[in-house]
Amino acid sequence: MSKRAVILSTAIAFCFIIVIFRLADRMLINHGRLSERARLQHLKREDIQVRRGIICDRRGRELAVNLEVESLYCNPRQVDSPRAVASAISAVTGKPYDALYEMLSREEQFIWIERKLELAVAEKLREEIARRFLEGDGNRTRGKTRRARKEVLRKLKESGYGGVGFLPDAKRFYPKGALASHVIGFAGVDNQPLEGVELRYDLTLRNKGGMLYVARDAKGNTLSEGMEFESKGNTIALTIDEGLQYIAEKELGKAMLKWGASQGSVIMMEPFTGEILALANRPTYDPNEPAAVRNSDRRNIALTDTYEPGSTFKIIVGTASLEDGAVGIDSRFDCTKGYIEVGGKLIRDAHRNGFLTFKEVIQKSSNVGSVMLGLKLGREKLYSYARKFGFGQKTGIDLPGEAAGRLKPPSGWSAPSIGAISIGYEVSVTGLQVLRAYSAIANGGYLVTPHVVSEIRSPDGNIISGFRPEAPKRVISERTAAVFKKILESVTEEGGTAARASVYGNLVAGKTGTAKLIDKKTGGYSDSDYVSSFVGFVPAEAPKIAMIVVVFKPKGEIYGGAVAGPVFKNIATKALAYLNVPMDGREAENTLVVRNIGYDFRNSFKGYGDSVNQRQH
Amino acid sequence: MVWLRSNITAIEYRIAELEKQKMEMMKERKSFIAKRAEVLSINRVEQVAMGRLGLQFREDRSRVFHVKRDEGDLPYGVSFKSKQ
Repeated sequence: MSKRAVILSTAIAFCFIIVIFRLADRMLINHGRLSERARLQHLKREDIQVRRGIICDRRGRELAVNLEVESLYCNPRQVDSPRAVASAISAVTGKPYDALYEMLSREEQFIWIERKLELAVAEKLREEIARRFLEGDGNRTRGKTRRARKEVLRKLKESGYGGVGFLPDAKRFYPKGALASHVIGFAGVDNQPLEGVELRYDLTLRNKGGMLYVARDAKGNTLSEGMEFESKGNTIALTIDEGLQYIAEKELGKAMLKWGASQGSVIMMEPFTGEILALANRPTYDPNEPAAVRNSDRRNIALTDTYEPGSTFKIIVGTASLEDGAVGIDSRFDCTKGYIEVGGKLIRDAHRNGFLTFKEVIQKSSNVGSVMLGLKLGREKLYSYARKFGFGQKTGIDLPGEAAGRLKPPSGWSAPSIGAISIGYEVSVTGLQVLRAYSAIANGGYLVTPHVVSEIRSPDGNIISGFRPEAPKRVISERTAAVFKKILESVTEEGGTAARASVYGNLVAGKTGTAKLIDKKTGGYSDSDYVSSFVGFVPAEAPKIAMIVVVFKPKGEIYGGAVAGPVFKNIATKALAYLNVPMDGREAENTLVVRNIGYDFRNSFKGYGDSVNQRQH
Repeated sequence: MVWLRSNITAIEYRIAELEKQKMEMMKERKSFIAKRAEVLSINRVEQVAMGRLGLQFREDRSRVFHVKRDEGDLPYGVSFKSKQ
């Protein structure tokens, strides 16, 4: 073999040996370390997007959903074209250029510039920023080629560019606007719950976030193994019915305008189960723009505000007297004087009456007769029955901010207190407490637990839990409830204080309330400010709905029968039509039975008609 | 082996691409759900029904419809019998 061939062979062999050594080094000696390094280069951390669960009404109609949006952030220290960015944002969003430029010139590492931009707006903003970057002003001028623009857009979308970037975000949206706003509540800019069901059931609506490690190639393209990048919270179905809520809101709004009242509320409840079908307050707000109103307008006054109930509190002396056997329905009371003295104070009737039967004392809402009943009962029994009916305690409704009201124990009563409390003064209640008490008359003597959430479902539709009430507590006998119900029916008949609350075709059972409000300047009762209320249920014999209407400071009229009674009538009339409740005694007439062939999962939320029909048959 | 591996990688790219499309469609879907809920709000339905179409809300309850939730393949059956 020639000398050259030997040298060449040796050189080639030497190269091969080096290659083999390098291979051995890579694949055997440093395999672990290099594999790990490659893995870290391939894997990228991705946040799992967390989305709050949906809130819907009892028929599956969405009341709170999520919209996908984007939020614009920047690292001012890395922004070398603050003028370009500021002018782009100003051109698209209309925000003042100077304020934006100041933000972009700060000595911070992270600031939000615009939160919750709609996707179309974010895309437009991205294009505008890219265009301004490429047009000049800064070190990142790359000419105006289409490729360059596409590259800038891609970087803006994915990881930011020139110190500016977009992050995916979610915005809570309430498609029905102000409807049931006090029940649903709202979420803040960071999707933190601030009121209502959003707050009370936050842990249910939220889900844990987390992170995924996703494989990416050198160009940043993802290699996926089919993982979910979104984590959804549970769905909550309320007991609220959108239709009934709308009716209540509309009629309450009309009444507020008519009477020039300062505030008002309506609560509609199913008296046998405690399901809240509608809860409306005025003033109200749109949860899509919570900052547009005062903080006080966002208060759920049906639960948070207490008032002296006046004559609606006569349910206590009335039922207690019957339950105790102290009076019969035809017992007579001398109310001819028109007043009665209790502990040195005179309590008067609003209208002069003669001798009244027990039934007439309630029907005509005689203060004198009611005080006589209270005196006959005595302090301890009066207090005991008031506590039995839930006054002075929270109802336990699953909404935040409920007030317990105030009911002093007899040890704290003064001499006139027994008279005052008998007619609904010196005691403070919420509308919900009064409604719950009257529902006990409607349902045969049981105190139910009001609630607004019916069911909780997982994101894929499986039921996780339904409302499991405690066994309702019996507060009065069925007989007492039946007798008192008959008396309450007479309140809306001729001669009663609430003839204007009667509904054509169905008997209404209820009670009016008219009470003076405290004048905050003097500390005494006002002569001009009243709270007018009406509470009742319909149809009286087989109640489908129980409802209370409370109107504060009406102008022109003050009596519950004149102010709140017609509101009750208007809402109940429409509600009974909405619920297809036939008129009394006409159930068999003109009834069309339609057989349905099935429905999707949303219809499996318990329909109101189901619960009622099951009781009826 | 190499061919299998490259096929798997190609499929993973495709899956990632489809996932991206799915995410975009999910965003659109959420937007449509919100829009549908808004359009079907009772307030709007009433405005259109009574304002634009001239319908009237009947409160006389002269006709009462009871819907029985039977499952199966039967077509709608209608009868004027009283509620059963």
